[in-house]
Amino acid sequence: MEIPQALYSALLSADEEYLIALCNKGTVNRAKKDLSAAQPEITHIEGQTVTLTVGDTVCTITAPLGSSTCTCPSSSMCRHRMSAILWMKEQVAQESAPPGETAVPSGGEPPREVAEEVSALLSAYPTQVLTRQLGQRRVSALVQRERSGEGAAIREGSTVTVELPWISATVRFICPLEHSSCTCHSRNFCTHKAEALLIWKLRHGVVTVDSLLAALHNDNGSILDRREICAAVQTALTDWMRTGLTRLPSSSMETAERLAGLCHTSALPDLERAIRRLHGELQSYFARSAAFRAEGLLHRMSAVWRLASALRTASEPEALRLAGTFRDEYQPIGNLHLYLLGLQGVNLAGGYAGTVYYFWETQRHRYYAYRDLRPKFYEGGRQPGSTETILWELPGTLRQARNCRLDLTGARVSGEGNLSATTQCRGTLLQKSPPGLVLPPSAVEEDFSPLLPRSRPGLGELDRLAILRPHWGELQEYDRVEQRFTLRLLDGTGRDVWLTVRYREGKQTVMEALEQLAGQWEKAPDLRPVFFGVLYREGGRLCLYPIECFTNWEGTP
Amino acid sequence: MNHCLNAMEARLTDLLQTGLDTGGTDAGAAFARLAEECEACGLHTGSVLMNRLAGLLEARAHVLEKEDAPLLDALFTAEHYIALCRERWQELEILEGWQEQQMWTQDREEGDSL
Repeated sequence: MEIPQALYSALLSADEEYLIALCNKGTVNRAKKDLSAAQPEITHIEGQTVTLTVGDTVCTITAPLGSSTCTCPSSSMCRHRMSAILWMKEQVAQESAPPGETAVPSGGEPPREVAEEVSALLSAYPTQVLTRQLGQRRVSALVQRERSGEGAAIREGSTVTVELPWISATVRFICPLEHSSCTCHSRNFCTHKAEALLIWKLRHGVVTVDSLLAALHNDNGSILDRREICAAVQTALTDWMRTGLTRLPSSSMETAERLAGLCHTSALPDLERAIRRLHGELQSYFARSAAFRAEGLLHRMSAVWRLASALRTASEPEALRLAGTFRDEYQPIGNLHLYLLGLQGVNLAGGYAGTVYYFWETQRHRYYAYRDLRPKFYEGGRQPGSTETILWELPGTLRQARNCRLDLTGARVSGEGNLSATTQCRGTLLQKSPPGLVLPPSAVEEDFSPLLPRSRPGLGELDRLAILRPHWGELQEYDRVEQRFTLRLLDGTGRDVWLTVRYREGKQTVMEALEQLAGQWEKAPDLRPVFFGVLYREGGRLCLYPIECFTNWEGTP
Repeated sequence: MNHCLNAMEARLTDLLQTGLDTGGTDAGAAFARLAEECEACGLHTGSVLMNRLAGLLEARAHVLEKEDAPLLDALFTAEHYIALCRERWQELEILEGWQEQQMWTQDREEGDSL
């Protein structure tokens, strides 16, 4: 059978280095071992492709060799394809050897034209694409490393191998460039490939450091199309799913960060948030955190995929809604008649801490909140929230207005119900009142059945706020393993809500107060305390995280 | 039902761990078995999704050019379906607990009155 000319040339010019660049050294060695056990068999030749059977699989070998395919599940260059290529290469070498001489495997000096072709391809690759992909920070770091002489190691032959020791990655460029490989397993033009190519260009004088920095300074970038970004996000997820978590390179964190950055510049805040959460899960995985769960990562990936998919196919107005907003904008709402029902100190994982104040609006019959949160990362040793600002021209701090009525004129509220601290809003502090006289009886739940739909996981915090007046309470034994205080609250028909507080720094006083209350309640069953808190579900239980507890709801607070 | 949801989730997580290239073929057969289990548990949509995944994974093994977007669509739809089912299951568990408690309270009250 006659092998097509293009494939013939490709096989002749491919040395071992080229074959390793197509996959990796391990696969090439494995293919050689497989060849000693079973020989491939050519089934047919059509156009520029040769079809062979290799064991149980069928391989289609074509030029360029990287475009060959196989029926095995692998989507990258597999051992079957490599066996077929090696075997065909052997046949071609025997055919091309002069009569009477045995074929010698190609080695030593690679054909000059192959090396020149790779160099020409690398030189022609647009520098601007590389600088945009890497971003200013990485390009500057690269230039710095090149200047200090701690740069990459480059080897050139039929392939151009660039070792990037600072990120433990090795990039092998071959002709055509799309078949080049990287130790991060990415089949796309990953950031390592971009970095390696830029280094090669600098070393070969294709670009100079000064021209590179000047171009970077003048390049204002281009905002990528929404569909392009969503496609890039989905391609990255497809790559990760193909590779699998066990072989996922740590550079996937960088990929996630880069994609989140792209979403930010292209005004896709919800997708950015979803990718940042995914990035957090990946960080947890690579840090070998005990809290990491593969189910959690799958859930984050699913959220990103579904949102990217919806954004990709959405019409412009729909895409605008799906994109979300960077910051919740405060809208004027007019006058509000508020009652400060409770407050709690919070210390968020996102790096913010402070106090959240919960208000009841006496006319709209709904909750509002004011969140006095400050970043912890700028404050050093200072306790966040230690200095409370006076809002809305009130005569004192909000903490002092606890259980007081206050009227706001010119108030501004976000979509979620958070109040703005705007100076355009004026507040009038009214008298202190017992909550039972301000809040209508309908706001207090004595029957727990309507609480279940209000505890759905997707709901916001203000939608899950509830005031409970249980019929009876049963103090549970303190969970020493989980360090958890639990009080079972029951309504008149036996429906239960579990009030739970986990021991944490700053929560000791809350737990002591609740223990004291449970003791009082046991002695005086007619006490009927009222609990204000946030509903949530845990296992098969409906739970309440307490914010305030009132033992004299209708009386003096 | 909960057992079925756990099995589906475990299989999807396994696939994430091994990757489509390595674990895809074995996972196809497992998803087909899970489809039958789902149907027996009354999770009809779950069964359809598992069958779809099994079909796509089986087809993937026999094509030269792997086009994985429909497979990932099905995979993440299945994950979302499991999350929604769990939410519903949790709600049912709470309601069931409340009903048991109500019956127990009623029995006790009747016992007291006798």
